[in-house]
Amino acid sequence: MILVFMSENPKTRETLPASEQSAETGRETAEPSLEDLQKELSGLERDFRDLKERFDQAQSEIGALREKLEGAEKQAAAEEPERTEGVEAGYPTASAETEMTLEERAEKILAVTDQALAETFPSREFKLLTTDGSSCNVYAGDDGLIYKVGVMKGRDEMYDIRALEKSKAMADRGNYMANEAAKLDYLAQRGLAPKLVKYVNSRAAVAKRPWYRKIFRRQPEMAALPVLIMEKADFDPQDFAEMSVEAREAEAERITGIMEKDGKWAPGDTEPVVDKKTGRIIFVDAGGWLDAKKRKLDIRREIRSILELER
Amino acid sequence: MKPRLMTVNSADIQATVADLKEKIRAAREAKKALSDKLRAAQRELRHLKSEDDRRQEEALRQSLRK
Repeated sequence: MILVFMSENPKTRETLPASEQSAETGRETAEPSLEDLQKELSGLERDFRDLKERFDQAQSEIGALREKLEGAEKQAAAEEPERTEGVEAGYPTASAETEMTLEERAEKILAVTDQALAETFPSREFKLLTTDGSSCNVYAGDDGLIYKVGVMKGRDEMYDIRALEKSKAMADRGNYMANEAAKLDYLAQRGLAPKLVKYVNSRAAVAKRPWYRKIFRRQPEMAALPVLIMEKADFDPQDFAEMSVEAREAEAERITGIMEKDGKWAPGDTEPVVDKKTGRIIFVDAGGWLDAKKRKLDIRREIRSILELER
Repeated sequence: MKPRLMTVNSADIQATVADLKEKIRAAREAKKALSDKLRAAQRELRHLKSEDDRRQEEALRQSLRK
């Protein structure tokens, strides 16, 4: 038998067994009532249904976008069967070596970024952090900094650094990363990203035309491949997943306040993480921030979306 | 109001509580797994949208050059 207290509150509260009562006070600690447990279960089931709806919606959008992108890729390949500068120059490329597995291609790309780092920073040592980036490989330097090396992946990938450094694709990549460096600098000054230390553009980008100066107003340094160097952010990917809705709401307000002042950028394909030092959200991939005015984006709405809050 | 003390058969309550607790634990796990999957899907969606935007801009630039 256990004791149950009935009071004005209609909830039935069962008491803990004596062995679980507070040793300090000797008083009984109320456990959740049956009604509380049922409510909690209903709430969880409702949350699950909401999540499922959002997941199905995201899956359907992903399917449609994949189909669209694959269609465009097939059409481009049909229109330009002999494309790529590498083939014309006799350099190995993805289209010339289609028999390679994904792992083999990743290895070849890695050899290129390894070589670029060794040539550009001969006295440094590096540890590979990830090859997951769609357009870069990321390393940790022995100086404690992060080195993001731009390279071509996918349809335009090339495995010879000498061919890459002269290619139009690498000029575009260099300038894309100059833009990313400028955004990172902007966000870092507002406490929303790790600090930018230096940007080394690709020779191809600098040779093409100096419009990168409009984006990144610093003395240009050049290398075969573009390298973005930034301070290391101390974060655990799981921290954001475990952040409460209330904390994310507060962060959304704070970040919106900062970003709406200039109204320049809204988050697109970027990654929010929780900085261990401050407990606040920062973004580790600045390249995915988008021009809010040009794309007519509602900054508040996009920030709420990326922090996984209801719009 | 002074609480009214009464006794009930604990076996049924304990079984129901245990059953509910187990269901809650399973529901929490399922919710967390789905949250993780949703987060990954949203990341992929952002990436695809950005790739789509990039290609549209590239196509626009190409057509302006012609």
